[in-house]
Amino acid sequence: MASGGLHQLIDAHYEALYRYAFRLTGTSADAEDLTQETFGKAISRLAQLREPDRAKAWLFRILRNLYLHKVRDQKRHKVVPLDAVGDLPGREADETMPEIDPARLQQALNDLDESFRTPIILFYFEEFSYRDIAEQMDLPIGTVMSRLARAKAYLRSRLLPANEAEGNGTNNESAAAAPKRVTDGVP
Amino acid sequence: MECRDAQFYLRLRRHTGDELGPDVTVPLDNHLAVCATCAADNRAASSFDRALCSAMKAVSVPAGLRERLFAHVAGKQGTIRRHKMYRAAGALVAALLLVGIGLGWFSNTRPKPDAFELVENLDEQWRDPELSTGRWLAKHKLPNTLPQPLNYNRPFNYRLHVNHAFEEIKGRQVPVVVFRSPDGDIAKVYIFRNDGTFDLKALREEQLSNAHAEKMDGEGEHRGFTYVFVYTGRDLTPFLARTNTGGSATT
Repeated sequence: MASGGLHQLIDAHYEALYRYAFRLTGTSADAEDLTQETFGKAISRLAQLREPDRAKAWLFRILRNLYLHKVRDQKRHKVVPLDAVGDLPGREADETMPEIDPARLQQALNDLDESFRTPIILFYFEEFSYRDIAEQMDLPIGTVMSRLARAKAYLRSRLLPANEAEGNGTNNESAAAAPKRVTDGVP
Repeated sequence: MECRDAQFYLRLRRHTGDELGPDVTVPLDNHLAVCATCAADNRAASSFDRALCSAMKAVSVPAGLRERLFAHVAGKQGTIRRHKMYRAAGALVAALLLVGIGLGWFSNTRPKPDAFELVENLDEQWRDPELSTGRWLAKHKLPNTLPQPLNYNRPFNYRLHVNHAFEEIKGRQVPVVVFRSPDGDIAKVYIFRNDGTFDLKALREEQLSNAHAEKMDGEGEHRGFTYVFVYTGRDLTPFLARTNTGGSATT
């Protein structure tokens, strides 16, 4: 694919990639770096892209691999162990959910392990199918469904208005279904 | 569908485009139509999904990101092109080196004619043709002397020796020693190995007006070889030594 093709790729996908990167990393600077590195890597691997229709999934996969490579090199950050979180929807939930503060969402995402964060981002943000997510992460589709259910339950527990009220002036993370924080990056 | 199953599927249901399939969604929707509790949970889940989806997408893209990406990619492409060029140049240099080394090796392994050796060989052949012929025969794993022709009981006179070489006969190289008499007649001694290369039974004595061929089976040190004497003139006498003391006898 010529450079014209690459420019088309950038135009078509750079916003989605940046947003994905932002939700993965939590900062604008890291997201921009990751997006740049993704296209930089894509240049040298353009020959691998045999199906242009799959370009988006291909770029997302490159981005995720780069992100994983980075976080492996960094000190593991604290994440919430999802074993402590149930996966059933809360019955006390309000039927009319008010808007969620994107900053609070990001804070909750940052506390999730990548193996749960990636599917939830792809699920909501880019509306990837279960199958697409499974392909992205090299996981069985059942595992993806399970992780999504648990991550959703965790986000509900963190983002429900009741918790916001309860957590007013307190640490939201501790108020959100009281998940314990651990030092290990793997839940 | 029971409430428990409905709750299970509600966790997996995508509220913007369902992937569960009609075999699940139809009974699920039927259940939600009659179960107020599950229906309320469904509405809450949908509401949460919409709110989460909206918040998830609320990421503003920095101004100028597109231009920075284009600049980054252009720089990267330049680097890749340079690397490709370096690789190609490296490959070319390596190929040239290989060719050079190959040519050098070929040049060094080619045989180099040595004029001194040629002179030395000729000198030896001139000074002692019998010794020279003997060494040549031995070098080719042949008896280092020629047998005395039958009925003559005298050896060849090496002062009449002209040459020893290989001659192509029926596509095979056959050693031959050549003599020339003072009268100008020529005698050739062909040496055939009895190793099945030739069908030597077909060889017979032949004669033209002034040329003859005689066959002799080797004996003693010449066993295993067949000698064929081809000569001009009346017989082999002019090519043989006068005495039976060896090839160095004079004519």
